[in-house]
Amino acid sequence: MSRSESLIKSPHELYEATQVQKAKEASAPEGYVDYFAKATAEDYIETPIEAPIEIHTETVPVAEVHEALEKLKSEFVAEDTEDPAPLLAGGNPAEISIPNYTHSFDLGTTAIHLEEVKTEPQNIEVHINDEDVAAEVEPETIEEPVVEAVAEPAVVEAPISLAVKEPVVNTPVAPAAPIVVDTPKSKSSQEDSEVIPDEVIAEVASTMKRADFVKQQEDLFGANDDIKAEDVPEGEMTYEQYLAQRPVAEEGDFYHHNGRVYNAAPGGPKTDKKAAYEEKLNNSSADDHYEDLLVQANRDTVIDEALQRNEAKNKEYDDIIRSNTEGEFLVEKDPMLKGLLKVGEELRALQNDDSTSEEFKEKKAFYDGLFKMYIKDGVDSRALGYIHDKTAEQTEELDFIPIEGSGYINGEKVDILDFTETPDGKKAYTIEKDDGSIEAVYTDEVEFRREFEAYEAPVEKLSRFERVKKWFGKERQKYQEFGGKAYWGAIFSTPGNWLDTRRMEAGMSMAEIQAQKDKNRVSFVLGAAAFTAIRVTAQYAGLDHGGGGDFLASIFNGKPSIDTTPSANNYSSVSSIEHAAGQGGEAVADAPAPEVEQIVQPEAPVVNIDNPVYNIPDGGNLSDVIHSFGMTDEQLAQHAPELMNLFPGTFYYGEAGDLRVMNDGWLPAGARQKFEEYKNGI
Amino acid sequence: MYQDEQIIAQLNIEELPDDEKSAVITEAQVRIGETISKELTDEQLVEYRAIIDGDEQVINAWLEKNVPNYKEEAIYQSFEEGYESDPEHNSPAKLFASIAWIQLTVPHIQDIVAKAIESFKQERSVR
Repeated sequence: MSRSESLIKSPHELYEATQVQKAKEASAPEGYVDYFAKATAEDYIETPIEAPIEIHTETVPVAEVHEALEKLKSEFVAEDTEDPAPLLAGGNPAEISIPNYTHSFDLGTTAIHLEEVKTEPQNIEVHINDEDVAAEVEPETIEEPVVEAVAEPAVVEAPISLAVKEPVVNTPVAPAAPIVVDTPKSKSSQEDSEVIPDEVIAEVASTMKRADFVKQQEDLFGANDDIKAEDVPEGEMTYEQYLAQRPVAEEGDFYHHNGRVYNAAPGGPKTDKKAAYEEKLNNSSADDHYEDLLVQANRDTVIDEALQRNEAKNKEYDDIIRSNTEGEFLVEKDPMLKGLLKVGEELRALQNDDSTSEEFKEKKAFYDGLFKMYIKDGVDSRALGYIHDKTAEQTEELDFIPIEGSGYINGEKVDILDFTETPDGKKAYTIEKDDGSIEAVYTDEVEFRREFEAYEAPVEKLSRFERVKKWFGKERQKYQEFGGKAYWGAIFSTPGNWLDTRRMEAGMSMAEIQAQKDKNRVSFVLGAAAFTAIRVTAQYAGLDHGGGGDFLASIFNGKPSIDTTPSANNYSSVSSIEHAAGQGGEAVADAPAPEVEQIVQPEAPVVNIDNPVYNIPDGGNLSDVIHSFGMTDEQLAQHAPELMNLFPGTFYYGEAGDLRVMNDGWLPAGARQKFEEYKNGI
Repeated sequence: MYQDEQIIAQLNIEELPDDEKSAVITEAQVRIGETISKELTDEQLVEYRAIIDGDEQVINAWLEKNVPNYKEEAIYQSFEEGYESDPEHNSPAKLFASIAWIQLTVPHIQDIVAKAIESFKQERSVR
């Protein structure tokens, strides 16, 4: 690393350096000698005040900058000194780097600072020590090169008051405990948490009839593989008795299901999922439906990001551990260092007993003195870092919750089972404590650790619709990666596919949504089957073509594909189905199947007057639609706020501020009327 | 008879990538299904849903009544042959019934399909 590079600090490094410096200055007794100056000077040296590190990026013609700076250099040398040698010798080069072109000034210990260079005639100001020298440049064109001026401090000198209370070395402090990234709980494990506890089963099992219990469980919750008939011995308790003896839900109790938290009905059994689910069905809206999709999308993205963060963090800690391992090796083979370690461990033991005792103070002074002496003698920092870590007070704890899994909240170890975000922006976490109890916690009620806050940070500032669409895009990629030829079919069988959002409108209840989803599914299969019926019938009429069966099967598998089977040429038989059914209607024997071209196409109007809505299957872009009404984009932009107000939940603003269509592109009839009005200037 | 190539040509989507073609065809299928479902009674829809959901009781009863010798049908036999290679092992009777049902219940299916596709094409051209 060059010196100039070492002086370009990231904000984080500068912050740390500042904190270290402040701590040293605050704790340093008068006259206290800082043995760490050597160790810290290079890494923590402050930028000279006269030449703050600033990087300005501007686009100017390279040649002109070059020329201006050359001129500056010559003027500086000519005016300020007769002999440039003292200035040019030694010191640190101030550099001006330009992509594809680099110019370096060797100005000795001076700093150079290029300020703004704009398209108007401007001054390039070069600060040489405290004196400004200016030269005019007049860029003629704005071209591609980017000028980066990197200032170099004039003097590399450690700050004076470098004294520390506790020894600090350059080795990063290792975490107190190994970082354990728990595997995120799978869906099934979440569901496990909803299973009736074993002790309850056992208690019930002692009195309830096995078959009744299992049947009632299945009636209530659906078949549950976790409760086997053989797990429940014969007993006499009725199911009503069983319910009666179960814990009763109180106000605020809840359960989670499929990524969301639901309130349990007060007075009902805590595990009564069915009732709460039905309550949700009756009380939820299309917004909740989208929210469900969003929660899933967020969870995927957040978990991905958390994994990436953990990967980076693990690497960091791997480096630390590696460094400490090497440090341990060095200490082991050096009796002096082993002695220092022993003193440090004794010191730590004393500190745990009484950090105010005289013995502790004496031992600490001795230890500090030894430690600093070793630093001064240039002992390997890995070895000192290892000793420091082994002897310093271990106050740091594992302080982040990477993703779903174990973590700490308010110092208490918990399992994060679930996370959800309510429509009003509150974030709720479902946690399981060590004692097995499950609670909902909200971010404003608990103190989350650093990484956990990162975990709960919103992923992107996108509209709800855009986020859902984006998620679908990811699904598409996923299925393509897994070799699916036709991902649309593949996601047909997933809960979040586009058939689940088709024809959905704001304000629909969950029951209506479910009905629409079911209708979508039937329509899809009906269409595909109809589509296929025509083809397969013709293909099989002469029993000379294959492939139709596979295609039809794929309808039910949700994997429609583009069929490249050549058209059947032989249409000479009656539909075998019609024939077999004995009610073939009008026989079509020996008649060719009608070709598409033979069908009289209806003269569909450009705008279907009978249809009160317009469908834009992919949602989004409204431009083409309004053009068909004779409107311009400008008119649309002008009336966008009014449309947003008139038809809530129908439109949204895209990233570019353009009005777009939500909800799979359905436009209400009123919007069409408005388009007509806008077109006519009403 | 419809082949995908014909639909692709009719919708003028030859230039689209395969996955987008597939998406458009899927959309066309749904349009066809929606058009058909408008012509069906609620009872018919329930019956068809039961068939595609694999309700054996409904399937068997329907086949028994409408295509009693369905096992002798070449189409049915081809479904049987493909059973092992079907990842979901759909019942051949279900597959057969789902086609036969449409053939018998919606006699003018070719017209419906053609009109639905043309309507979809018009709608796409508006956008």
